[in-house]
Amino acid sequence: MFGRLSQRASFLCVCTTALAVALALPETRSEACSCGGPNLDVLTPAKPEGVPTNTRVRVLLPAVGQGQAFPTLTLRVHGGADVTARSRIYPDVAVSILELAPAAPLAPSTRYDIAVVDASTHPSTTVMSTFVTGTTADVAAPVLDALGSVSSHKNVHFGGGDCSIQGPWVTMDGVRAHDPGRDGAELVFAVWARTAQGVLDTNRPPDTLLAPSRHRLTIGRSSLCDNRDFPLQGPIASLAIAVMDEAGNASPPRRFSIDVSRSSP
Amino acid sequence: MRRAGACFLFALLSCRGAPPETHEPVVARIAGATDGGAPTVAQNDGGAPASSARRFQLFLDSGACALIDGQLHCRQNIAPDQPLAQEPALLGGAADREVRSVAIGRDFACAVMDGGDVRCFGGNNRGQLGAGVRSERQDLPVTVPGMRGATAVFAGPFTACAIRADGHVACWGKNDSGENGSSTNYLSAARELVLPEVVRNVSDVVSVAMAWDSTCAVTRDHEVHCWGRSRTDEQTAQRGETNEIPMRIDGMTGTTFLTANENAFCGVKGGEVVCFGDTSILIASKDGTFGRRPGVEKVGISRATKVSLGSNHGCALNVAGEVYCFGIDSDGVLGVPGKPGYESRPPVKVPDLPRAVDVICGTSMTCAITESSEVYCWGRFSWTSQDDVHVGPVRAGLADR
Repeated sequence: MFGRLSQRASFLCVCTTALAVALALPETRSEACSCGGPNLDVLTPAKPEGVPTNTRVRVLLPAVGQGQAFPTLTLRVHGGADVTARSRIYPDVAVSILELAPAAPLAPSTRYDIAVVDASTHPSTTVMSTFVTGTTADVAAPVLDALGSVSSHKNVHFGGGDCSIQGPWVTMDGVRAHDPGRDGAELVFAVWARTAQGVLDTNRPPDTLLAPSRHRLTIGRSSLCDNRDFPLQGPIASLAIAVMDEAGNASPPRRFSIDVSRSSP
Repeated sequence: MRRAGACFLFALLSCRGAPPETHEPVVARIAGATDGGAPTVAQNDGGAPASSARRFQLFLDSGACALIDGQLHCRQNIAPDQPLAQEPALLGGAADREVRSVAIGRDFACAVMDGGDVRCFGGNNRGQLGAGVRSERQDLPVTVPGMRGATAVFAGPFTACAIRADGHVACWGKNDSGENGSSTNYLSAARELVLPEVVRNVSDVVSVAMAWDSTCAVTRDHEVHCWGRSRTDEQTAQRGETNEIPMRIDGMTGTTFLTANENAFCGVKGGEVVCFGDTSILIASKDGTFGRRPGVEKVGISRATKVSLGSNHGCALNVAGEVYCFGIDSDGVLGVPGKPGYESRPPVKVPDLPRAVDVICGTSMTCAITESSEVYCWGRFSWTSQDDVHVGPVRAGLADR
């Protein structure tokens, strides 16, 4: 559960003064902040074998500049043809999630490769992962057991060598979910925010997908070194969250609101 | 300044699972592993004329390995007075097979066995074992497919190459910058797919040298072809910052020997030691700048036959059997008294050294093998003792039986 490969790609960036200045942080306090670069990660499927034939492929890619295109994410039969799939991008600050949903079930007991292809780079193909399908599809929705302790965070003092930022961000400690259809399902969390029109519409695709770390889910950017962000419109942020397996089956969304104008007591 | 972690390839057996001590991505530089030179012929120790010459090749880093009579022996802690032959043979011993060529990367090793097959063992995070292995580590040697008849093997930190019987080079492992000559880079979650691929557009290869993310081959007609991260302005202009397709380095044509450290290549061309890449640590800059230099530079050593590089220094052997060292004088690695600092020093002759036939640079020490088969070393012999630094050559028993 919550499987996540940590594959560090070759590209590295350092959050230096320039970035801090761009974020309008006090320059004198941001000089010592430096961060590791964004990771190139496969969110799902993370298991090498027994993957549902209706799996979706979700990867974390470094964000691209405005007007630039993402490299092509490809799911292909190992040594064979590309799989026809619908793609969706969940944009973010430093990394974005690209999701591929195959148009038809994958062949059972077959090896597939997940690759990023960018003809403008050398080498042009980066094979991020490889997996072998199982024999069945996963049609059971996972269950969101608990949101855990939900807290908002906002720094009064920020900037400087600890890479802190003002925030706000929200943490959910002790978030728990399971998939009754399959042990070891790889679960992510879909998050919706209220739109500019003030509507929290969970019938549309989620605004982002998040993976928890040790049962802690962080919504929003928690430091300069955090590659993920999420707009938290306050003072009261209205959010919805659902747990989703690698095949796209999702639990009913659960809604909640939290004061993000200050840190939770 | 870069310094390799104390736990390098010896992670192979005795240091399993221990992380490198450094947080920097530093190549475990094993001189000779990337040198591609023929094994040094050494005689029996003890000063007596040898009735049967021994084949002895020394590899240094924070530890030491030796290829002795076709058997690979390693020790994690350099102890110059303890013969490496006393260590168990890591490859081939049990099967009564000899190792023809060995290359040692950051956490793995590969060898060409006497049948011309290539076997690798150790770390496999980026597929550096080249055998389609899923596990992150494989302590029992695995055979790299499609390499029968190989003549030599070479290693970068997480990449390896071998020269095939047909003179082509095949490489495997990390390929973030195209350093293994393939247009496909496999990340660690896809390491089980990594197999050797023949590098296009270069043939008749006699030697290979590998830096952190670039690789160069020397051809039979003494041309140098490089791929991976560009190390000269000419490469960058023609191929961009990274490219898996080999390009000839015109300024290196005529090279008879080539080696590399993390970021630079040095070779012998017309008897001169020449370097390219990020040579600012090795060669004193005229303008005080660091980083990559535009093209090929002379070090200032002539009549050279071989050069070897550590992370921050290099040493060359000349036709007279003299050893000259250059680069940053840290821990006495240059072999001469001086004022250690961060400025590169021009070449200095290592004093009090009998006529040498080979020189090998490690991370913190340098050794020379003499005509009479003795090994002399200088620099830092131990990381655990602050006092174990020898500024001048001292006789070491590494080659003793």
